[in-house]
Amino acid sequence: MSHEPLRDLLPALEIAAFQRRGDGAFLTLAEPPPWFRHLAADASFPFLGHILEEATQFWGSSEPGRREWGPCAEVDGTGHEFHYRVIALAAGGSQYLLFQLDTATDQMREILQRVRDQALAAEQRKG
Amino acid sequence: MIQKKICMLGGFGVGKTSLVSRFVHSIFSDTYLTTIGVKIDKKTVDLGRERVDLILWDIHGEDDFQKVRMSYLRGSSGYLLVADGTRRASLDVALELHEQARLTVGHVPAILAINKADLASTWDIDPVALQALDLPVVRTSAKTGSEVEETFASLARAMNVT
Repeated sequence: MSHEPLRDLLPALEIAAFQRRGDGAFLTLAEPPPWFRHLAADASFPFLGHILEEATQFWGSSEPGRREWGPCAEVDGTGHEFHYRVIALAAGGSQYLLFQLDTATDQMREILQRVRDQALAAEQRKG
Repeated sequence: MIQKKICMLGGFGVGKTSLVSRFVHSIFSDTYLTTIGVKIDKKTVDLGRERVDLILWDIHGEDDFQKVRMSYLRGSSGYLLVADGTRRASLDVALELHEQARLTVGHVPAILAINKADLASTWDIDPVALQALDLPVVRTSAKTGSEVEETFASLARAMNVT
């Protein structure tokens, strides 16, 4: 199958996508979006730790479907914090590892920040 | 090099992220920025005969809006519980998370850090209650750096012998 359409589609969706080969190495399906390049300089993903181990177990089970981890927080080169999710996917006999930018969590963080600021201020007033 | 995963556990606003920032980057900010999900960081520590890569999982604080998913703890060699010395309720949260963590990862090394030692004059936690706990307790300050390096090193040493 040609991955040609994916090369434009995946970065546009803020997704970095890799296919897992039989030897465990990862093959990129498209040029990763800019946010991901800050996260991983190569496709070995040492920052994932046990997530990669759990993903490997999932792929080893030979069951189709997906496992998801996150949100994970990271800070870019300008000090801006962003969030992403990690998805292990098994489909059509192939195994994939996806990293998806999670802007909904960015918005949720702004709300929780306000709520927790207020909660801390209320605790201080009580104390 | 040996890699060991450490999870940071505690209520919101107790200073988990600040402790990691102080330990890994030697920086501190007075501005409270809440964490959503998990931040993964790394620092190599020298334990004398060997060096260990500590993979630090700074997990969001527990409150009514965000419950800590114990799945984050899988693969942990130890965890640091953090409470805010000026907020007694944060100790209860840390101890509750301690119970949950034990059910998930078993009796791996853990340390309770009572943070904000720089505000010790306004602390709201009874020292006697701390003595009765079944885990090591340290007083840290992410702001001044007091006991931060030592706490992570102690945890690393404890993990390295288990």
